Amino acid sequence: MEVAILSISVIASLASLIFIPKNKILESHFTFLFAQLPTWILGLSAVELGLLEYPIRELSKVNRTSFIFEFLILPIICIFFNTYYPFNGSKKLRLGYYAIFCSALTVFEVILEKYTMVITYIKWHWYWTWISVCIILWLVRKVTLWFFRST
Amino acid sequence: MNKESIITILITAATALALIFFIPKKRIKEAFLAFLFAQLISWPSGLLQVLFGLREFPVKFFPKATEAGILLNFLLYPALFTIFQIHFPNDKNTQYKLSYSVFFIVCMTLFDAFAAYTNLVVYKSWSWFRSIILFSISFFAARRYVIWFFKKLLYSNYKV
Repeated sequence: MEVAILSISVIASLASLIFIPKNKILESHFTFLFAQLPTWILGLSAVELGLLEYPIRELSKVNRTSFIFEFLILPIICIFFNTYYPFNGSKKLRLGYYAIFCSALTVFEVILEKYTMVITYIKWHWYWTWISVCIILWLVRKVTLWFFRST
Repeated sequence: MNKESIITILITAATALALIFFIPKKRIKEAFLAFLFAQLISWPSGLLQVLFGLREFPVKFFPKATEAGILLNFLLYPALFTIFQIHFPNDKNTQYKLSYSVFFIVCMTLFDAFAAYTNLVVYKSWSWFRSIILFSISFFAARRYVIWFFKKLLYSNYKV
């Protein structure tokens, strides 16, 4: 079942890229490339410090983090976050937007943690996921804005 | 401090300094993109190299988390590509460009061989010839990407 979950997530995340409007392609490229930096470092650190682990994963012999999640899924989520970010919305709307993304990811991860062997919390808590996702989404957005700002 | 830690610190410091000194401020965005894309190629390539028993990376920042050391594949080589890309002689003729590329790749291969000597990387089923091929392909692909990206940027509404 875990293998099915991993495969479906890869296919689903790649397929979801059709929903990116064409005029945001360059931003998406940059977001994807940059997102890998913090997610990868955080992911490696978390496993290194024994905070969580991914018992069933791809490339299992050479890598103990989830390559798919860090390298593919989270960056793609960042792309969607940036593409549909409500620039002109009220502060409440923007905070709500953040909250929805962080909560959805956290809930999804907790479900995976409880019912599958894709990920296991050792010394980790769900709110750390919430906080780290929030920080990553924020950071990636800020850096993408910086990159595309006219100088 | 053992030999490995010293080398790790030296390489990290050298990478940081090289990036600071060799990247002119007005091209920082191009450099940033080059760096990120080089990481995209280099890191999975490193993982695959370990997976297929081609090379090993004994010195690691994250020994428990991954077998493929991030030092070389995630930091140093992308940084070297960034410098390659930024200082690429676009205005000179083809022969000059070719010489520049060959020179850079040969230097990197030499460094890689040196790294093998200092145990930063262990050649299992590898040779300097493969290093040359790998660097050439990665550099070429990454260069194409950065050029494409900035050309597209020029024709769009963004100003970078």
